[in-house]
Amino acid sequence: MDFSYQQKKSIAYLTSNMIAVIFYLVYVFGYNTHLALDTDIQKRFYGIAIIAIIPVMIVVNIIVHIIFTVIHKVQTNEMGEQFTDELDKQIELKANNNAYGTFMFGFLISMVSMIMELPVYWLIDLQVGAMFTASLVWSCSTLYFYRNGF
Amino acid sequence: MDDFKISNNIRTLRFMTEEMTQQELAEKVGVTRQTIMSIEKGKYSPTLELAFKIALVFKVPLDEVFTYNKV
Repeated sequence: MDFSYQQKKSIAYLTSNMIAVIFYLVYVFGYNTHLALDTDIQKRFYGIAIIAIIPVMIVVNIIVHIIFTVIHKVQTNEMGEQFTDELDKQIELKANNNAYGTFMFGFLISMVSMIMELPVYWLIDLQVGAMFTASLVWSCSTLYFYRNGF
Repeated sequence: MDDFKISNNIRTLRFMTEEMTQQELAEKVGVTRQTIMSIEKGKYSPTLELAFKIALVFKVPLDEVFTYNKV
């Protein structure tokens, strides 16, 4: 299958997002088994987890993109596109729209968990899940639009 | 209303213009090769500005590059 630079870049984004999701899942489910429900400790734990995931995501993104750029340069002897044009901007807008819709859907579901008086970790897990799903939807959308148009 | 589709002759025009590559055309009109590729395949309809730029490169009227036909 032949992939353009932009399509490969979307796959690189998808990969780094998935690595960040795995980091988060290992951290949260590796250390926290939801035994101490609704305690201040748990709230603090989630606060740290969410704050910590941001630098992790940035570092993972940088590493994945360095690897991607090197592989692309070795394979094609080209540096790739250094600017964005009207197609890139339109695809980004559409992908942002899809990601926003996904996040809002997850956010609303998390509100339902509050109405149902589920433990607080449901609320946080659903919102973080919505955030990650939205970023995956963003990457998949860009890949889809670059391959199939709109 | 009937369905219409924008089609183009960019590939033919490139061939007739000293076999210009997609990359060369992309550089002349200031977009990426991906965009030219998408336009050629009919997956993306360019803005009016880009359409005019492409026509200017080939030195032909716009309707010789893009046509609006019934599907």
